[in-house]
Amino acid sequence: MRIACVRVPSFAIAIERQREPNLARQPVVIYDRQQVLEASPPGVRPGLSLRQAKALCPEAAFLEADHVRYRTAFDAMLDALERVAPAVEPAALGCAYAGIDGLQGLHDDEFALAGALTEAVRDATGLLPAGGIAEGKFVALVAASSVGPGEAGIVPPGREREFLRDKDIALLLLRSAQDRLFGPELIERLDLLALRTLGDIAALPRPAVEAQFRSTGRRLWELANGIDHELVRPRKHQELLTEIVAFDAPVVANEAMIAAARQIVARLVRRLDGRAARRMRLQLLAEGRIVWERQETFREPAGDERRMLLLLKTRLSLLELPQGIDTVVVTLSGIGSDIAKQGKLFTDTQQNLNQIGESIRQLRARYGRDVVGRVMEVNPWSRHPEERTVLVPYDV
Amino acid sequence: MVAPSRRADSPRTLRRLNVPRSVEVHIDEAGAPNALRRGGGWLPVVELLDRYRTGDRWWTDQPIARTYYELLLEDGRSVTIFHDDLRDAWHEQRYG
Repeated sequence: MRIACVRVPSFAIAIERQREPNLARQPVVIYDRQQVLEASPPGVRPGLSLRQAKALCPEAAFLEADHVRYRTAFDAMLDALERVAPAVEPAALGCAYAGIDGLQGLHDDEFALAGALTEAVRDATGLLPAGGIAEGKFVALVAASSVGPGEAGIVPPGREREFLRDKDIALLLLRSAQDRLFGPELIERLDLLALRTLGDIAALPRPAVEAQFRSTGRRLWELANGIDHELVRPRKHQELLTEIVAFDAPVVANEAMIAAARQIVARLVRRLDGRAARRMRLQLLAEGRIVWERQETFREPAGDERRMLLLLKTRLSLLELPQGIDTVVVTLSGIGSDIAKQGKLFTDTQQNLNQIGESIRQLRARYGRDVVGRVMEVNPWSRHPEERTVLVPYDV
Repeated sequence: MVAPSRRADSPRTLRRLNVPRSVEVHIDEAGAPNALRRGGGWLPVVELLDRYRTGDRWWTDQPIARTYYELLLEDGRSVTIFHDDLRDAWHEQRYG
């Protein structure tokens, strides 16, 4: 099975440099929870503490990870790939596989197909990835890791073992981001055994590798030999509803944007047709470029104009943009089934309360303990959900 | 003498709701969750919906420092998990 791998190395750093072009001339370290996630300076490895990284490279720009932004950009990358190849599987942040069997006939050769994939990503995200095509995911991934941005590594069928022979064992970690079989400790063990290239492992008899590494050994030996029969598992799609309003000339007035938002929300609610959305993304564009964007998650799914418009008005009325915008785009996602509200059990009619009270007394007599509770808010504004409510016995 | 089959009334206690439960999480190269252990397998994260931090009671001997993630899973459910930044542990929690 021919598989393409498309990969933007150091994806998070690439996104940050795209956002702030001045970072291109500066080493960048991205961290989360005081730990390095990605780093451009040599010697600063992921997993180091922020303090260690600052000691090693004090001149670097230290940025806290913006996971939502990275994920949004990665989604755009996957969307772009799907326009070329229908079956696309996200492997890790900035890396995806595409099943290409049957697509070769649409392009001059596999180099042209790889070029179509990488160009699609560049057009959609501004990032230029590297591509690899081979039999199986692992060889395609190694092929993509062996070439520069905008280039493609093609491994003809039957040449996998030869191609992998001198490749570093650390490449196994890239594959493990998905199947979670291998970790850095395995690479350390391989290194202690003087197995430093994939060819070193491939040259060993399979039972010997299995005996040393048990269940992981078989997979390890197969990958080192270029055997990877795992199928591409296409990502699941979610329904998106998008509405756009374009102005004839750029506008700066917030009132104009709010008027556009009102028009958009009315259209979206009609298209929702009684359903509700969990998320809403608002984008403001000028000459086709996103000037400002924000994704909001509703605490409860929203399907009504009032709540959506309230959120949009809140965001837009406080906005101060450095330039005029000509297009407003709103996209709803996380669309679910019809909205249902649970009715109240405890209405305030005396007859109802008497009936419930009697039922609770009978249950308590039957089980010898309180079996009906009432949820009571004790600290509703706490940032920690377990502190907001308690269950108290229902007093009859 | 035969003991009554019914237990005496238990003390009337308050029970906290939405107590965090341990969860096994796989993180990607950028440190964000990309799969949750469900039963015997891993359930991939389709979308990272939100991420925010909370810090509280740092002046006591029981400080709280959490990084919350709201995730959309491949089975269509959305879940809220957090990383306990002080104890390096992952927990799942109902949102409200």
